Amino acid sequence: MKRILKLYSTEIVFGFVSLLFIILTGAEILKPMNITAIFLQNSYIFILATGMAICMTSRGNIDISIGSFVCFICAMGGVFMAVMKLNTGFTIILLLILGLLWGCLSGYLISYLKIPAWVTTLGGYLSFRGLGVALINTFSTTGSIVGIDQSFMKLFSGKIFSSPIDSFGQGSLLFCIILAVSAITYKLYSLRKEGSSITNSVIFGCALSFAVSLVIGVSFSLTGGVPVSFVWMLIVVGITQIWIEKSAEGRKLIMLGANPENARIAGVNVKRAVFMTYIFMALCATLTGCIVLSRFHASSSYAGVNFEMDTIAACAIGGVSLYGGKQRILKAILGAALIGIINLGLSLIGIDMNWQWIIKGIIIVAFVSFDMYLKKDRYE
Amino acid sequence: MKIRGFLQKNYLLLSLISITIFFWIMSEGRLFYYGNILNLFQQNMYVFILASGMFICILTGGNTDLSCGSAVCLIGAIAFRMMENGYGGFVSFIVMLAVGTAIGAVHGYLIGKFRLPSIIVTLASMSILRGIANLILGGYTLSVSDETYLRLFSVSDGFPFYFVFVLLCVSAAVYISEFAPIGRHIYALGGNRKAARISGINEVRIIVFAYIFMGILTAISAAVVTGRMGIVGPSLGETYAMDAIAACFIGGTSAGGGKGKMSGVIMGALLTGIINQGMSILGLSANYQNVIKGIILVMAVLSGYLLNREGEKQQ
Amino acid sequence: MKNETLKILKLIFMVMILLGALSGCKIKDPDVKIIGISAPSNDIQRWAVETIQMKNRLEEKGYEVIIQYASSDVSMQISQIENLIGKDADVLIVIPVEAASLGEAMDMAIEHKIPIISYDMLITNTDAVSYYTTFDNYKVGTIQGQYVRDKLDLDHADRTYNIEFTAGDPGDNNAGFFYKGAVDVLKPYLDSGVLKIISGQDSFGKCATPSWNTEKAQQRAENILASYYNNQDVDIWLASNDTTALGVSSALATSYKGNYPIITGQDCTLINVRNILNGKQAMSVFKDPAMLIDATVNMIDEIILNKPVSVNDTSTYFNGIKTVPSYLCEPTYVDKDNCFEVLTSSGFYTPEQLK
Repeated sequence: MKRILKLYSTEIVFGFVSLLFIILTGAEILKPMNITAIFLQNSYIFILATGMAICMTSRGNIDISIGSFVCFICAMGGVFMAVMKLNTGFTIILLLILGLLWGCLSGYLISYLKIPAWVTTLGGYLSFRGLGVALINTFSTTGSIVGIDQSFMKLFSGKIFSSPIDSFGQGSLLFCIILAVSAITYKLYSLRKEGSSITNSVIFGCALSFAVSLVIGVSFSLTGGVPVSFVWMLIVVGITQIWIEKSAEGRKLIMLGANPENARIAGVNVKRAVFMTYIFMALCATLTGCIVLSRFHASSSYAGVNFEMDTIAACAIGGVSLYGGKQRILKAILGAALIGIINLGLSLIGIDMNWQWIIKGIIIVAFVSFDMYLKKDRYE
Repeated sequence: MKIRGFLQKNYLLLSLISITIFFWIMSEGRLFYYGNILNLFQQNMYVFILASGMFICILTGGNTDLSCGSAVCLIGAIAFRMMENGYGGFVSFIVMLAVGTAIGAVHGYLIGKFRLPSIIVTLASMSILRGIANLILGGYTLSVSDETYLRLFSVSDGFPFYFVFVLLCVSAAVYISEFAPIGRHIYALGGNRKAARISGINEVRIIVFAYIFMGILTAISAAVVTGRMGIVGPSLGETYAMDAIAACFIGGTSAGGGKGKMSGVIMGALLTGIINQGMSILGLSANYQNVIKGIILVMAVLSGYLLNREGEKQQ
Repeated sequence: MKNETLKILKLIFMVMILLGALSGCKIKDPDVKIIGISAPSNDIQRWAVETIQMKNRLEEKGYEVIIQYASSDVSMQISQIENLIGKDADVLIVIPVEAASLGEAMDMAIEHKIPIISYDMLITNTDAVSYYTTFDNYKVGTIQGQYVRDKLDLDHADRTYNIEFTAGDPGDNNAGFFYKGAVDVLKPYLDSGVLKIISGQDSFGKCATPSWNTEKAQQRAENILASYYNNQDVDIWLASNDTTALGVSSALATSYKGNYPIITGQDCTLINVRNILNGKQAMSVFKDPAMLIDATVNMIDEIILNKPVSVNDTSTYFNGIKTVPSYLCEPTYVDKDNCFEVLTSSGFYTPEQLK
């Protein structure tokens, strides 16, 4: 029993908490609009948690600068588009360069100069928030820069396959079904290639993911289309998953997380691997910045507040350990979804926000204790 | 070679002096007015106190406490509610210490005994404690009128008595890290966990000790901050944890634990304090204060690292 | 073992599907109109009190009311507004955390054709906002300026007065109005030299207090006092609201020995009213929430019944996209002489609270 608990602890907690909120909200959380909301409102956690999980893979490396960096990217985006009147494409390129620069800088400091990740990203945490707010206040007197390009907002927010709100948009459903089918085909194909047999649990997993996609697809169809941020999230998660599983680089990273000594002996360039994870993290944060900027329709000093907290919590619940070890990116995604459900559920129940703080904190500690208890032998 | 050795030992002091001179000139000498020097210490009391506790926690092996800002708010709120209901200032202070100790003990136990990552635990308690604090305050800002409390923690007869508490906290941390037997164990544990455990050091006890110390200091910091301001509001302490951690790291404390000196932490706290103060006198926006703090943080750690590496090569 | 777990997971999944199907059957009662209120935070006394009062008033009229507090977080507020729309709200009252950044939630409101009343702070950068109810924010500043002018009789001044400003949050659209309102009244005296800003910090940016934070206001005041007022008195400290005024009075208590200045404020926060009674603050602008709530509730009735909505200003408040029809309430002020009477008679505070 303990073995199964250990393997599926995130899934079980996920199921349990979802069930709890379904009961507490009187099934309101299952309304199509609210299922859409889980993805629409928490896309940032999904994307950042993916990056953070990769970061943490390399033994205890963490990034607490992401929330501030998101704020900085928002501010720069506003400055580029609204103040300097650059076009969308150029803005995106510049923002990506900024992300790349910060990724290289933090990665270099952390991996090659051995400045602890904590210190480096604390520096980023302080600097970027200040810089972002300072920029916004320099170019605006109202605390936010408005005038973001329409095309930019189309690219990072809103909906695709959009349909009127009260009708059924088949496009969204079709999109989700095609996605699910191709993901399952890919999974089965790669299993076959590895020569593994297709067990009952694989079939169950496939059926479950298909059913979930169906529910999500129907929800999107009924609520006016697929949120663009959801598509971005899929792209990030998909690329990461393939990168981690299929590329030599990714396998090295997993090896490094599972056992740094072995990895070093096997000739993995640890410094380079850590360097890469921070570039990846910064790019994830840049993308999140763009999404938040389009969601707000303005550069706001409030962008990215508490993002690092939600992200770390999502990773913790996803069983991504700060002590390194074999990480599963998909579990971090599940953790992110759980945080999303908790956020939405508490908001739907209408609990006092202070209780929300308390409950969220307790859930995190409880889960991590539970997880730690199950995996105790691994750390002894 | 001598110059390098000198730089290596004193880079922090040198940067402190140069920044002080910079702001002294920029503010046309106003930085050194009696009132401003007093302000420097008053406004940064919490940094000195919390950084002392944080320093001990970090020494045990990179364990931090992100929740101390929320804890300051909660402890202050409890005390002010008590005094509002007629309890004396002294009794309230005892309760504050008790609450601080309890919070520290819970942290220490979870982190030491159950081996939960300190970031996760204190992150969670940050939101829990902030939530409870807000429930107690109920949206109101509370004020204090208790004589004893104000005499202890506010300016009475012109003499800022609360400096005694700051001194007490800082010297306690100095004593623990430099002289007390447990200090050696703390350094040993932070330096090499496995070796420390083999040599029979009780890890749980030390981590619990460090967090209880942090908890008590959090309570004292809550007392002096609320005493000075005379009020407790819902947003009290939001930046405290990061300020304290930054002071430790600027002061050369190793983020992995086991290395660092209190003298460095004090200078780190002074450095951030003078920057805040100087920029505020010059009327510069608060936003740039954080930018400069962040840059100095990375620069300080970087230069410390580079100088030490050169030194190692020489040897 | 494994099969057992799978069975459990399957069961959970089935139950979820079942409940999902059930939820589709839940029908909303069309006769009861739902009013959603989205407020920045209930840690701020004003929002905590006013949202509850509003809720009670609306419920008396037979509406169902849902309040959501956003913990001073824009992302959270956007999500909460979306969730309120998801709960089929018919009208939304929104007090934005930040004026310009509610983007996607506003788009959603347009999509669902839900009217939005912007309460106290004007939502900008969108055409989703239908109406605006507020106190005349520029007037708040004007009242503070006029109070100072009349108290010191600046028109017939025979000496110069030293004045310092503490303005509000640079992220709050209203903070600029408050500051400008006050400065516009005092400008002639600043120009003629009757009023002097010794610290030279004379622009909104330099005087601003991030997030209206008391501690930041106190630190800035302390540093100004220590740097510029060692051997002269400050006569006026024009603080834009009560939380910043509180910081200023704390700073004066610890680091100032001269004649006590006139401190202005706004909102009549409980602790500041006590300070007014004790002489630690001169005045506070009173924005009687009952007036604003009346106007808002009235507006909701008119919207629901499809009647023409009563507004008294259709030209001032341009939000970047459209000029929002507004209903402006008149602020007043309280000082030591009238504060007890005004605040208790309007039911804003009970007499016990002010003791």
